[in-house]
Amino acid sequence: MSYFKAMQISSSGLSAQRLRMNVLSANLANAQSTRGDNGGPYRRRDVVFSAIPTGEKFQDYLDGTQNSELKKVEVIGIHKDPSEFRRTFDPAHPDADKQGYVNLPNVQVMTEMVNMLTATRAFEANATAIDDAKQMALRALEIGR
Amino acid sequence: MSISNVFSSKEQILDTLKSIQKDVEQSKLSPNKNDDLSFIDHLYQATKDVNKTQVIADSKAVELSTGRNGNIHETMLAATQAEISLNLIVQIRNKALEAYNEIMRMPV
Repeated sequence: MSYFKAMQISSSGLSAQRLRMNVLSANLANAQSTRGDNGGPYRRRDVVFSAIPTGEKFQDYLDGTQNSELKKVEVIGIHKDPSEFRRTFDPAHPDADKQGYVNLPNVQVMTEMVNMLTATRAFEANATAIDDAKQMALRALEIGR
Repeated sequence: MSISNVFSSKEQILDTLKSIQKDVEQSKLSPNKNDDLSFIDHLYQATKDVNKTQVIADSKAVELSTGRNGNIHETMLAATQAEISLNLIVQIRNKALEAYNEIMRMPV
């Protein structure tokens, strides 16, 4: 098992957290969009992470890493949050329904901010893991110098 | 005739493929297949691999600066790999030099 394997796994974590960051930014930007998919308001989206085997190339399959317990992370989909929309009474709004209520997106700004903090910390943790793997490799080179 | 008639299990297929791959690798490096791989062949192959990592890191840096691939951490990862590979081959060169000097120091 080479040092680069640890770095590749951490790199997959970095990509996954960046994608999550994009989705969170989209949620925050559209927190008041009353016109979204299919004419309704914007529905909050969330990413789905999945642990997949690290081997990609045929060589890895030959090495047997395809069946190993070492998994990297990948975003396999973006699903929509099924919770209820917020309703406010605003008859003057162009998107108000017959009773005068407007459906606003189910995005809680505070929740998204906390999720962004989590994504940032996870990103930093993965970057630190890469640095430490590199330190290990460089230290190993000092043996017997 | 399907391939399942020829190999009885998945392991047999894997073993055959592994042995084929080993043969191909060996034949590429030494002109005579019956010779063992000498140190110079290993070193030659290693230098080519290190050069490949350097070229990859360079091209990723160019892609990042021209804006085609905005993946910063992929670029940094390629640069780190190139750095470690280069350090490793420099250390191997030092060891080889040390071994050579040790031999030269032997009184005849």
